[in-house]
Amino acid sequence: MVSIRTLLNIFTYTACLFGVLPLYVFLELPAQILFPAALLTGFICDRRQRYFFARLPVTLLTLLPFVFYGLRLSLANVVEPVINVLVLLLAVRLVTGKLPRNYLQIFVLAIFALAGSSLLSLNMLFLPLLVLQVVSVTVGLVLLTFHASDQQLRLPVNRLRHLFAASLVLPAGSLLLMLVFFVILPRTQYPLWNFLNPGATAVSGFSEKVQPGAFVRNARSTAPVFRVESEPLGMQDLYWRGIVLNVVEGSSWRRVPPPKHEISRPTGGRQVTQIVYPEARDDGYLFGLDPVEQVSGLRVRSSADIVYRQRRSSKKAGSYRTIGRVGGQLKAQKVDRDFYLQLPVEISSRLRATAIELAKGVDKAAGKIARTEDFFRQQKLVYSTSDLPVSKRPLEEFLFENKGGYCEFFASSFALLLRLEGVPTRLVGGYLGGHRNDLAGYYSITEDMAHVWVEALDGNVWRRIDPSRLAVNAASASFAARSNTLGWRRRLLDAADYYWTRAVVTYDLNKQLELARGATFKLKDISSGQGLFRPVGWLVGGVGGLLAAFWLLRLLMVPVEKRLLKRFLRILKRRLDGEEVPDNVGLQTLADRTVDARFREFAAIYGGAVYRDRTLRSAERARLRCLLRELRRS
Amino acid sequence: MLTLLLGFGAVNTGNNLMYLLVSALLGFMAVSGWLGRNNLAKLSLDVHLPEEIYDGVETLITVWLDNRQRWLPACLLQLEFEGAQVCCPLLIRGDRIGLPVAVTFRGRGVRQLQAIRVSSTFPINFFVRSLALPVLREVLVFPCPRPVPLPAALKLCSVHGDQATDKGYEGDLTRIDDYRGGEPLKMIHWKISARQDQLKVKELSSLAAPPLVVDPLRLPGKNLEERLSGACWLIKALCRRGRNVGLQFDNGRIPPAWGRQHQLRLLGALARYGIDTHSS
Repeated sequence: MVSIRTLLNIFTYTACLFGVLPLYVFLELPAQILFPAALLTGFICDRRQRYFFARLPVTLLTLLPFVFYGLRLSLANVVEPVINVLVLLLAVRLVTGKLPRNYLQIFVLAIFALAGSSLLSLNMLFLPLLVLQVVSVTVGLVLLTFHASDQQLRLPVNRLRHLFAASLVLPAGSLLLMLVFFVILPRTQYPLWNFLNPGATAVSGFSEKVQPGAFVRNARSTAPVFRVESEPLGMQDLYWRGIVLNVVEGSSWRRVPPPKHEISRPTGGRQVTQIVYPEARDDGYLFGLDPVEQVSGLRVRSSADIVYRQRRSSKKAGSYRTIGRVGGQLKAQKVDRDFYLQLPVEISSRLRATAIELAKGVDKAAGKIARTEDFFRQQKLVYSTSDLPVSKRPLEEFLFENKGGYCEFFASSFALLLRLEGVPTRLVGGYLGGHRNDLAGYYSITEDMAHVWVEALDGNVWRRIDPSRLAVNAASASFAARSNTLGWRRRLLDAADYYWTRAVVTYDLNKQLELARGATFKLKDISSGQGLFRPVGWLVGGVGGLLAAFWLLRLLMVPVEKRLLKRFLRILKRRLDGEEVPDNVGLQTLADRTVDARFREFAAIYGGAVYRDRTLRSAERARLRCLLRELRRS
Repeated sequence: MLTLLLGFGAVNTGNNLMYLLVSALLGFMAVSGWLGRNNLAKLSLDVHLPEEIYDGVETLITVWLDNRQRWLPACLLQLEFEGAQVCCPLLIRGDRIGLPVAVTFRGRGVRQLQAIRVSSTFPINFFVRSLALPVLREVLVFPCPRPVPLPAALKLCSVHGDQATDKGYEGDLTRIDDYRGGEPLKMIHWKISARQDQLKVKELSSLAAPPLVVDPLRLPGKNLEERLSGACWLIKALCRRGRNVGLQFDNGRIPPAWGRQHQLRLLGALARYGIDTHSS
């Protein structure tokens, strides 16, 4: 006999665990310590049925965290205080004696905790935890119903098995219906409480400012930035354009709105349409394959230098469609050359002298660019992400002394030299490369792929130049290996995360409408007879397959003796013209009712085995089958 | 309430993870509703009544409950029958269980049994779902036995026939007879046998009292019901002592006899007596 209370306690504690686990890292220290302690203490107390704390005083004590965290509550900081209070309340409930209503409170708090975690992180770990919590809470509630009817109730193990079978219908059905409800529940385009949603994680790669020499070591985070559903492309084409930095101050570059009337238009090359699934970020920059021709699917603001930004700052990740031109060019008109030739106030004389030297005797931009590229090669610069020069004149140190740096050093110094040579130049920030996941057909772009390159005006074309490729170790440098495929485990995990983002995180009103439109078109096709065969075929095939599997399963679960007997009785009944075959009449007696000796033979063989408590031998089985075949045909 | 609250939060934050949670809760509500309904479907019951049911006396009745469901057990069934309640925590699929219910019927006569109300809080203790299952059975409720002083009552009963002349083993010595070989040894009168040099056996009279006919209307009592109750007690008491008992009414008579079926016949007659008069 197993006590229902014991089982209820187990499910209660697991529900708490699955509710608090996803937000544990976001909790403050008191809650981080108190929750596991309460979980353990509560479990021991429940087993012993002796509690250290009385219910009322401890409940009154919970007013303290209410006051403490209530004072810290503000519009900018809503979720963290609330989840801390929630977890502390849960801890209090766990360590005190539990009436049925207290169990219910615990379940509610655990659900709220899981809901709260969704406002802190959109990690796909939420899904397995949700499934586990739904199982724990639903089965726990069923057990609670039993417990409430009789608090001392105990059930034998075999009955418990039936109870669990019935209880598991709840989570199974709930989770199946969850998929349906998730698709059809109404969404709003602009949620009012958007500010409660998880903020962007700290970005270590891409930034709105390029400042070589600010850090000794370049951060290398492998956190995904966005994923792009795309056809396979060459590594040399995977330049993901994000931001254009057009003003240089000292050694750092920043962005200001480009001059009015400037026009840029991607031309040539091959159009590639892609769907981008970005992770939530605050700055709102949208990335696309360089040069980006079009961004749609979101309300965007574009500028003349082909920078796309989400019009309304949203913490909610959404997908968008881009069209890029692989191998294309960015044609420019009405470019304000002076704007792109602005120089910092202080420039080292060595840099100025180098630029003058490089520009000597060359008029055209193409020639100056080629000379500067040669200069970079001659300098034997090394692409490096560590031991970087930290100084007030990082570019000079990079080019002439240290000769090592990452893309920001290469691009900044190259662009500055070109500007000194009189070539309008700007920096483009974005990402280079991408892990191709052939399982799902997308590229995954991680934070460590952040990259800066140069765009120089060559005639009426903004020409893309990547000075990092001029490093002596360009072939082996880390940025060159950015298309290497990941291990199968990481690829699998990444694909799961991709589908999670695609199907769940970015599901919104637009997708709902798209789905509805798609369904309408399909219905139209069906009503007009077009495309009828395929869906109906799939449906019939699916249902048929399920039924066949079910039938086969049932068949296999029935012993062969029973199956043979069933067939025999069916044939016998037919032979007796539908005469009733009572259950209590022996097989031999039934066989004697017919004149056919084969019936009697069947009864003799069958009875000889089954009535002596042994299974049929293979030869006997074969003979019985043969007899049944003959009887059916005759 | 929880679903509403989270649903409100989900719509206003547009957070799809919260939408997932709300969807699961909505699914849970739907499935729990179906499960609760299914829990009471395909239940059938039968009532086994004892032979003797008395007015105002608590009687154990067995309610047989069948769960004809193919897959699922029936859980937390609460049966309410004639004001009494009984609980069945779990009845597995295809199983049958007999539940004893202590029921008290009020008023003698033939009664149509009330429907049995089966209710359950399964699967979640938020709602109680119930179902009335009709019991197409009649029950005959005997009058409530009311003790009457036996000697006084016996005087009011008419003696039917002569003093019993049957041989017995416990009564007075009636004669000495020859031993025929079938008599038990304890009946041999050894002293006379020795004196007469021949085995002699004692013949004793039976202790069985003369048959009695109970006339309820002559029994003490403030009204008919009290008299019938007294008669009921008397019949039970006399039958227990092995007396042959009959019943005398103004409109009929049941001759004295002995046995279980006869006792039930007498009590049944008491239960039905005057019911038509009452109803008219």
